[in-house]
Amino acid sequence: MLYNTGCQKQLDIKPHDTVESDQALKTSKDVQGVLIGAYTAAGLRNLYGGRLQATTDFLADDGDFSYFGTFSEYTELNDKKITINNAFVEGVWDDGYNAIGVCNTVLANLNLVDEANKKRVEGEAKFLRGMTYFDLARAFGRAWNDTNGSPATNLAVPLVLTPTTTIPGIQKVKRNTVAEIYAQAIADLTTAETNLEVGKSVYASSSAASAVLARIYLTQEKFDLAEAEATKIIDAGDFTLVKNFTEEFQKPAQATHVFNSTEDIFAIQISNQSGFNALNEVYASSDFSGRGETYINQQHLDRYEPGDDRANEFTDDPFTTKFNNTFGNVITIRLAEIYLIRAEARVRKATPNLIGAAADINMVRNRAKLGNTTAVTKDALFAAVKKERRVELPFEGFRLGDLKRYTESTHSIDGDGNPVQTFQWNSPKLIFPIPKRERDANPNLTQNEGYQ
Amino acid sequence: MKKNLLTILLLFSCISFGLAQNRIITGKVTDQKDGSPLPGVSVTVKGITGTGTQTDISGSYKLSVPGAAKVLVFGFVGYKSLEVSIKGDVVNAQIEPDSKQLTEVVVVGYGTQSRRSLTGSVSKIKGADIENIPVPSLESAIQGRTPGVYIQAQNGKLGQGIQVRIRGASSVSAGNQPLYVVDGLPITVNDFSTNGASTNPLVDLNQNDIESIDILKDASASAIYGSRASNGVVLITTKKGKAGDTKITYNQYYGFSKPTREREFFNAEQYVTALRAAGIAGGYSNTSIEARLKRYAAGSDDYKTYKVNTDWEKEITQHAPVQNYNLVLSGGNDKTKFYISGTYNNQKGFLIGNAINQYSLRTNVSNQANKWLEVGANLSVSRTKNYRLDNDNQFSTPMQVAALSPITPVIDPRTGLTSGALDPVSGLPNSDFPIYFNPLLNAQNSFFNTTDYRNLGNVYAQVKLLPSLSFRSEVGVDILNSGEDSFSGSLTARNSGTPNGFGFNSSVTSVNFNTNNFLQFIKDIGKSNINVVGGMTYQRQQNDLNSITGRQFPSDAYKKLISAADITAATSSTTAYSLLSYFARANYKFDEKYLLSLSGRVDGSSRFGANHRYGFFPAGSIGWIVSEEGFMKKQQLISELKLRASYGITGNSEIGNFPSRGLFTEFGYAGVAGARPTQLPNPNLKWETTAQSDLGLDIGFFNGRLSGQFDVYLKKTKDLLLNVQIPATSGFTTITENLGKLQNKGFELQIDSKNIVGKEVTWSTSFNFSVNRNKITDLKGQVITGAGDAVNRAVEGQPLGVFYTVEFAGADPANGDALYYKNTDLGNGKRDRATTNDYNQATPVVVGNPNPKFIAGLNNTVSYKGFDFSFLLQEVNGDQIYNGGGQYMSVGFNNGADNQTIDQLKSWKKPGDITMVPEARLFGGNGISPSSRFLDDGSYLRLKNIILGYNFPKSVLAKIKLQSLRIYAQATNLATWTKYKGWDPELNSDAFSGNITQNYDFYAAPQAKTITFGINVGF
Repeated sequence: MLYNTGCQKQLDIKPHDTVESDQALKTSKDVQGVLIGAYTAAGLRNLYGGRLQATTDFLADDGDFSYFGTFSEYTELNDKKITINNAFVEGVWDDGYNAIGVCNTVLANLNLVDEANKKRVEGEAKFLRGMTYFDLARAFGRAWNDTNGSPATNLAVPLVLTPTTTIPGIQKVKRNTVAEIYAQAIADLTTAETNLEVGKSVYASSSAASAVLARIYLTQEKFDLAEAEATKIIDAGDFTLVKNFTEEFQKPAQATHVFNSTEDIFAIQISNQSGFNALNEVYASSDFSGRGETYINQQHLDRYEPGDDRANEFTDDPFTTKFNNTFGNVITIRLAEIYLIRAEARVRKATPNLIGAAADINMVRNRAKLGNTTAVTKDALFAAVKKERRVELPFEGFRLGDLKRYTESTHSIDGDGNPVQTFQWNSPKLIFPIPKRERDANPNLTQNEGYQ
Repeated sequence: MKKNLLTILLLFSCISFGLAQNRIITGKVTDQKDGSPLPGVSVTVKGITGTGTQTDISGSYKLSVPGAAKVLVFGFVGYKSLEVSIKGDVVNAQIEPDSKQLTEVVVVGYGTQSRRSLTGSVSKIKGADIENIPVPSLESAIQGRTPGVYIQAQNGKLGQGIQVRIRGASSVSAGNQPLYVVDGLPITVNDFSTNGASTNPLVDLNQNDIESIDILKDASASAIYGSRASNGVVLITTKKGKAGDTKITYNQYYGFSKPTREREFFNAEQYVTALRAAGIAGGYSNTSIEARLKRYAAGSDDYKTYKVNTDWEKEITQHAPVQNYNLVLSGGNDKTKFYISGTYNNQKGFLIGNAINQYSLRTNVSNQANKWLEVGANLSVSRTKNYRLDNDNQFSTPMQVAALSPITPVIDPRTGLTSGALDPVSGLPNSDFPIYFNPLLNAQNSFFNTTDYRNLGNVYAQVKLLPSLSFRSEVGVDILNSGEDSFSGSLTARNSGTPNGFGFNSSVTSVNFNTNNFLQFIKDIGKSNINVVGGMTYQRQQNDLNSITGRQFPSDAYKKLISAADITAATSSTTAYSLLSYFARANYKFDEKYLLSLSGRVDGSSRFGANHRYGFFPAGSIGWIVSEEGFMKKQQLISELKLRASYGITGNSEIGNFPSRGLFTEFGYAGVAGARPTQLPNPNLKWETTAQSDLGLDIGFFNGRLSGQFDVYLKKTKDLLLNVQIPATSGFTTITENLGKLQNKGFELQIDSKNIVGKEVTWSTSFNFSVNRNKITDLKGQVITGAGDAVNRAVEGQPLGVFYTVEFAGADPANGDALYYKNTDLGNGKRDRATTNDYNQATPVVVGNPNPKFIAGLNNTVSYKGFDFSFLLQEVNGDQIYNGGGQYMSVGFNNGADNQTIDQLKSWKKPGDITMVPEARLFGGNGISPSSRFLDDGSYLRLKNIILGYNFPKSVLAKIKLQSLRIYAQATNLATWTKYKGWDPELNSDAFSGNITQNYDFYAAPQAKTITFGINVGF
């Protein structure tokens, strides 16, 4: 009775640790804060924090490494026997759409952003969204060059371009085609390329957008376009290869945050305060905060020519040391890849530029303290690019895309690393299933071939 | 003690005091049984209302009566009322206990009631039954003692969370634990643990201070607690002083504990032999297998002769003494009563590094200030330090030592240090020896301590406004400060991932304020008795948390965060909720035969949006005391017979404090602040409600020698507060929505028998039995999975937490592959029973149930001369357990070189072998996926408690000047009978357990078997 009147307002307790939606988006600064939130979403453990790279590399691997760990999700991927419950595959999907949702929130509130920042904010959000859509389409859909169907008919992932803000607003969307998703990615990245500035940045830049566009065009075998995008980055001269290969990857004990190297075009920023480096978790030895469960096999070490500086990137055990800094950035795009994209485009385009291609390959080789490539013919140079990608970019999330682009095969391995079963590049087993949880929640999603 | 309680009760109620004086009668009321004075007996004048008093502490009374008064009536709960003619100025009375009455007094919400006039379903446990039982928390002590209450400790680590389900789980996503109320104050039961395993805030309560535990089970009893009553209400009443000489009692016990069971693993010879075979089958060369074995054997060839044969399970157990000292002073006079107790409890766990250390003090005081005012205070302070272990899902938790190879020596001969401490070559902690991180290193080089400081107290005043109307106001506060302090040294790097030490420190201050203000009206009008309670209550709880995480210590000698060069996280946060409620209850009794009770509560909660902030929770019940009817008086067999029926609505809002709001959360990006949406708003979120009906029968035979209580109930929950899975394409994966229905129905019985009631020998037996059937009736087709392999599910048409996975069919006789039943739905309720070795081709089905078919308890108490003997048997029957650790420990090395359980010796070896154990293939993945392979019978029967005591006779006590002296020996969990192959069938993995994940074993520590010897002295 004493408390009767005073208590009505006592029932109105607001959250202290979080902000209510109706208070969260009121100013230009609020929207820019959510844009930073989009980077944190893109950097989630299951996405560019490292699991997107690791899950696809594990699925593509043909015995370059063996996984002796307790994450059955990685074991399934390495065995090319993904189950529809695979939590890491589900994580790629969930965190992918989380990041897309945050980007959509930013884009839907662009009207609040002051004119000085509007184009930049739009560009950065579209960069993250475009890159994420491209990677989701590759992981969950058939490859662009898969002739079993076509990009115009093969299903990728649903295209969602507006944020969900209410429960009635939750849509049970259908999967869009590979072509539709690629088109959206290209549209987003083109806007980003236009809106953003060329050059170095810890955030998305025009150069980073050009890089992802180069990846997309290469995948679509539009080699002229791919070369042009790569050339934009290289010719601007903002980025240079780090002198010694091993210095490109941040080493402990750099406990404090280190920003991008001269070579990094885009990296997920990790510090001792925020972010999670999932590549450190899966690849580093336990001496460097990793789980020490991914053992590099001789097969991989044999890929390095004598004198290749990149062979020094392994410990005796052997583990790769690329990700030894548990608080190190996860490098998503770096200049060496751009040279190799351009080299491949120059080799494979209608009118090949073999000398230019060799020069690009040599940029990467010379940095690794190797001499120039001896390849001269188109075929030999194409082979050289393929080989170079396997020693320059391993464990960085490129192998599955490369395998499919090159129409190669892979195989699962036994405990000693011997082949067990071969999988062609277009095998349904090399495509992620639509996660069971997602299909339970949304029956409109069809499952990929080979999964229930 | 019972009389004492009644005294307090009567002091609270209204007895009219004298008005018109004609003459003064004095007298004394004594107990016919032993002549002891009875305080609190009501003395009234027959035929004249408004005149009466009650006896004081010495049983005496003084009453002014009108001249017309002829007869005095003496009344006392539990005694036959007595009429005595007034002859002279002194009227003494001897009243006798009424064995026909259901004499027990039960505590109900905002009051007490005699069992006789109770129409709801309430179970009572006397404090005396759980005194001096060496368990860390009181729930363990009441296990098996009462029907309808299923208590399951998570595992044998000290101070762990304990799961209590009263009449089944009523919710899928919201809380399923009952509401705990201590002396009228709902207490804080939040789990503030941050290490992935829950702690139990009830460990801060001292069992020896408890007078009674009353468990409100049906809606009639519990609905007065409204929105928090769906899971039942546990009312804990602490001991109060009793008028008379100050009593001093001292209790002490000492003992030790051991694990109840061990699980058998391969020895060195079996391990080496089996791993070699599995290596070959897994495609490994001899060289690589021998290299692997040599690595596990600390680089020695000793494994070839099985010279080192380490029993790792022994290495992680320690001598585990338990000691408890308790001193109590209680007494008072007719105005003031007090109870003071102090306890020191020190218990080591049988797992290395585990201990609990506790001091507590309690002071309960009451004072009858004048004729119309009584005031009092109940206060306790305690300090509990819990030396904790990592959760079950960590390599560093002691039980995961089972994964280590028996060929690995405890001490690495190369370094003279614990295996895994330092690599002889690099000088850094070993990264690939032993097979996994050695938990012994954690015990030696790290700690994780939780310290609770708790202040639980309330003050009250009770004002008698009119003879039949009183007002009571209670203000209480429960302040819990729980701090965690941990450090992991450099030798734990392989586990902590930090080479130079890792530290964490946190502090939560939880302040839980509560006030109850209510009127009570009690009046007899003719044959009618009316008892009405009504008032309001307000509660607000706020938790403030700070924590710091750091790494990079100069050396292992530096253990506090002041020495950490790198502070990687520091945070503070606050959360709060409030509840404003109005309640009322009316009990009506006519002619001692017909009972009616109505109650209602309006709850307003800060957790819900403005649209649905208030909820109304009504209940009603009726009772008929058949044995009071004239037609029952003719027979002798049935001495008591009461029929009860109740129906009511209760609620549940245990869903976190802000589930209805749309939220944005801050996330930092390398030093730059950002935010992103983390929760969709649900302004329509409302209470989860449970409608419960209960039919009960109380019956007594042979003047109460044999009595029984039977209840059947049906609990239907709707508008489940569900964490609903939504398409991730929305940017979110779950929302909290009111969706779905579930029900519990069941049957409970309790039978008490006084088998022998003699001067020298007494023997009584108490038996309880309960059946609960849980069923999810509507989830709108959703399937919700639990943590840990997702084998526990919430599925429509099935009990909550049902094991839903692929059905295992044994090993393929042809090639040793794990086979699974396809179980493809063929329609007509038929399934394809063909088998497949492709796991993805098999459809998951319901393969088991973690909910028991029934639970039961049997308690026997025998006394002979000075000896007392009692034992309690507890049974849980018909549940299954899923061994989540089986994918590592029981798969023939298919998931790694973990040591294997002994059943793996039966693996498929050659074509034609018929076995349920597929071929052992090192890292072969054969049969490791979740399936019914890892399911086991979880039934058990346990000798929960057995006590033998001896009370020294008065003749001896007189010589040594003591009031009483008893010595005893006691054992808890002395014997367990079960078919479960694991450590102990009473379990829930502390890393995964939840509403849905039940009976999921994952290296869960077994329960403790504790033997103690004690003494009780009265001065």
